[in-house]
This record gives sequence, structure tokens and C-alpha cells, in this order.
Amino acid sequence: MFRWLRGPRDGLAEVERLFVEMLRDGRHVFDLAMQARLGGAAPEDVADELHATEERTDEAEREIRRRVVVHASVHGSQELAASLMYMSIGKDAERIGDLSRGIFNIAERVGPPPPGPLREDLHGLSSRILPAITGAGEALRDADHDAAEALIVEAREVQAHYREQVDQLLREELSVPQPVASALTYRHCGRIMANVLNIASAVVMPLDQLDYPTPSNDP
Amino acid sequence: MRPLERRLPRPAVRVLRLLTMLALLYVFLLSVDLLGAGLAGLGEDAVDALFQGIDNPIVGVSVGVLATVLAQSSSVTTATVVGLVGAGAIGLGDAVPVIMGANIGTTITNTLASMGSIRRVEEFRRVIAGATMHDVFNVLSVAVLLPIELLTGVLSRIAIALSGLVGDVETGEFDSPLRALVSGVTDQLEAGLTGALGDLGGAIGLLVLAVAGLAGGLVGITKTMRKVMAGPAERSLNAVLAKAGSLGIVVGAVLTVAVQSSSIATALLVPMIAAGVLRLDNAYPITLGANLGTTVTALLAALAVDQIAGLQIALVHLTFNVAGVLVLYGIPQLRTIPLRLARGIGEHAAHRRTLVVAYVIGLFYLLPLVLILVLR
Repeated sequence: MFRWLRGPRDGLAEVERLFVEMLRDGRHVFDLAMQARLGGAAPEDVADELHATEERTDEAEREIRRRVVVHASVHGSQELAASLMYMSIGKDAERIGDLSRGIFNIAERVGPPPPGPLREDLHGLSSRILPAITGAGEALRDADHDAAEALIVEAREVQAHYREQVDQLLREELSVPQPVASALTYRHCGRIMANVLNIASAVVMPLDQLDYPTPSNDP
Repeated sequence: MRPLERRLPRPAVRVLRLLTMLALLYVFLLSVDLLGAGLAGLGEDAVDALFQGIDNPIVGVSVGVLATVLAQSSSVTTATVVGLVGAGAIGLGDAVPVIMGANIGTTITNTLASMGSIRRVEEFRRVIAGATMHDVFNVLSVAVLLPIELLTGVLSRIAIALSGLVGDVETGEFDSPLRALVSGVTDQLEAGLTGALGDLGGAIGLLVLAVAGLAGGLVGITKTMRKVMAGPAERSLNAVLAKAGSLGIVVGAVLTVAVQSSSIATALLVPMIAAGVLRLDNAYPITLGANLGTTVTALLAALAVDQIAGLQIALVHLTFNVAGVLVLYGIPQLRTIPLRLARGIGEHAAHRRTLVVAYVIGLFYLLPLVLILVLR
């Protein structure tokens, strides 16, 4: 009866819901792109679904921005840090969809690499990145510091691996089929994990340190 | 130390807010009654001298603009006018232009809020257009409806007819259900102050209490309700962000009734317009809704007066704003005029930003002041 007297419901709760949903979509786009890249699905079979899901992540980012502006307009400086954080990590989540589409574009042009160590390595990378994408959203939603710290460690390991692979490809120390396409695929995977790392850093870092997590920077 | 509201359990906070609201509402209604008692104590000659010249409609509009700009609240102005009319200090006909002027004066808050964007040209263009849209609409409403009212008295006649539904138009009596709650306290305060300060001192004391209570009560109500309504306001604004039309009018009206301030309700839109997430044509109906919602304050104030004229001026405020929306928004050919004019102002302001400072000082301070001094 006196529902109107309950006071301000956290308007950012809806933003958080949208954000977690956006990461689920981002994971799905990445999954479809890697299936196409590694031969698990024909690019033409997943193209429509991939593009529709990726467009949904773009629209979700715009919706998050709009809601953050409305929230800040109504609440003033209350929850300013959280509002700015969502503006920042909304971009990260959108980039995951963007970079995954980049992997799909490679798959459309060159097709999957032949079976072998490269394909296995990319497959392994994919299976580490997939849970990390949604894991970052869940860590943020649950304010789970331990999960976020674990994700940051995982992201660093994946990035180190991709840098090593790209380095070897640049120096032609690694003999693989589709060397340029492979380097680009590693690069996109590494960037996706960098965005996951940015999102995880939002759980454990102060606002000014977002995207620059260091182990000693525990607030 | 954490604020009290954060230390208490939620149900206790709700009860506390409800009690605070009731107390503030009581202070507001009591202040309206004190105003009448204070004016009665001053005597007829002093009251006549105080409101000399207000029978000139241009002076009336100017007084309404200036009083609202100085109080930063049209609600304070309209509630005061209700109290004055209810006490017989000014007549219904003389009060109508003051009420209309309050509508113009209230739009300054938006324009001042938009100054925060003055260093960012594109943002400033949008936000000034958004702020002045309310100015333009309200100035046009007065320009159209004041002459009609002066010639025909149509708004007053409708208000008088409506007041007949709850009071006796012939005798001028209005048996307000809430009046009994405040009149006893007013009598005690009057007796106490007059006893301590004499007749004139007591009357002045009552007037000081009345003005302080009106402004303080409304500020308190606005602050409390803003906290209470923040969640629903956010949800409503999200719902109308991409939609123009009557839903926006409803949201603007409900929001303004809830926070008891059209200035606050419309100022919420400024950052959204500045950021570009709320388009001008979608903000327009919300602004008009705010014009309608703000009329509730005067109607509330009318519950504290025993003369039906107080209710009649509150109803004039309502009919004037409803007529403004019906004429300028209801007629499709007129609907876009305020928008086009506001966009034009936005274009000019973006190129010559100092013009906005001159516009604010000129329209809201200098012009009304000069008109009062010259025509009074």
C-alpha cells in the first residue's frame, strides 16, 4: 500500500542487470566466432545470429549510458563512482562483441586452420576466455573480490601466452598455416581478455585505477 | 557518523519520512493561515499601501516573476498569493496576473542550471534550447491568456464555477476540512505574539513566521519527497526518454506533484538534455506536465483559508495552466512554436554565449523591476 514511500530503489541495479546480460551476449558472440574460426560451424550458418547478438550488445551499451545519465540526473552525486564505472566497463563489454566479430571476419575470409597444434592452442585459449567473460560480470554483480582477483590472474596468463605466440609469429619462429590470420586471431583474443581484465579490475580497484590493475594496488 | 536514515531499519525510515511529510505539510498549511492573520493585524491601510499598484496587470505579472525569481520557487509565490487572496488582502482579479508571472519566474531555475554547460558549445546549444523552451512556453501562455482573461474573465469565471462545487460562492465562505486543524494554533500564536510585541509587532511577527514557514515547509517537503521519489522518478524518466506526447505530460505532472516543485522537476531534465539522451521534443511534454503539477501546491494552500477566494485563485492557477497546454500544445499548428523559438535561442546562444547572461538578467530581474518601478 505504501510502496511509494519505500524510497529510492537502486536505479543502478537495472544497469547492472543490463551489463551482465550484455556480457552473456558478448560470450555468445565470441563462442560463435571461435566456432566459425576453428571449424566447429560454417560462417554462413552462424552469421545472422552473431550479427544480431553483437548489435544487441551495441544497443545495450547505449541503453546503459542513457540509464546512467538519467540516474545521475535524478540522484546527483550519489553513486557518482558507480555511474562512472558503468560508463567505463560498458565500453569494455561492447569491445568484447566488437573484437569477436573481428575473429568472425577472419573466419569468413580464410576459413579454419587445418587440424594441428595451432588449432588446438586456439581451442584451448577459447575455452579459457569463454567462462572469463561471463565470470567477470558475475564477479561484479556479486562483488566477489576473490573471483575478480582470480580473473585478473587468469587474464594476465592468457595475455602473456598470446603475446608470446604473436612474438614468435612475428619473428617467424613458429611455422603455422595462416600465420597472419593466426596472429590476428591471437591479437583479438588477447584484447578480449584485456577487456575482461578491465571489468574484473572494477570489482577490486578504485575508480582512477580502472584498467590499470596491479597486484599491490589493493584498495 | 552515518546519517540517521542509514542507521535505522527500512520500515522505521518509511514511518519517519511519513511523519516528517505530515509535519512539514502542517507547517505549510499553518503558515498560509498565519499569513492571513498577520495581514489582518497590520490593518487595512497598511495592506492597501503594501499592495498598491498591483491592480495594474503588467505590475502584477512583474511582481509574480520577481517574487518567484527571488524565492526560487513558484510554489512559495502561489501559496502566498492564495493566502493573501484568502485573507482579502488582494482581490481575485488583481491576483491572476501575479499567478501568471509566477509561471514565468519559475523557469529561471532551468536556465541557471544550463549555465553549467556554457563552455561546451554543442552541449550548451542543446541545453539552452531545453531550458528556454519552458520560458518561451510560459511567456507565450501569459501573452495569449492574460489579454483574454482581462477582456473576458473566462479563467476566473471557470474557477468561480468550480469553487461552487465545494463552497458557497454567494457568501464567500469555504468550509475547509483542514482549516480547523490550523486555526487553533494560529489563534494561540497570535495571542502570544501580540501580548509580547504589541498589535503591530505581533502582526509583523506572524508575517515573518508565515513567510519562513511557507518557504521552509516547501523546501522541506521538496527535499523529503525528492528522496522518496528518486526511484520512481528514475523509472518514469527512463520510460519516457524516447517517447513524446501525453505520457510525458503525465510523468511531468506526477513528478512535480510528488516533489512539490516544477523547478526541481524540470531541472532534472537539464543534464539529460545536455548529454543528448533526452531530445527536446520529448522533454517538451514533461515540461508542460510540470506546469500542471505545480498547481497542486496552491490548491493545498487553499485548504488552509476560510474564504472561497483563496480556493478560486488556486483554481485560476489550474485553469490557466490547463488552458495553456490545451491552446499551445493541443492546437497542432501552435505546438511547435515554443520548440522552434527555443531552438533559435539555442543557436544564437551557442554562438554568443554572453547573450544568455543578458537574457537571464533582462527577462527575470531588470524588466520586471523596471516595470514595477515605472508602472506602480
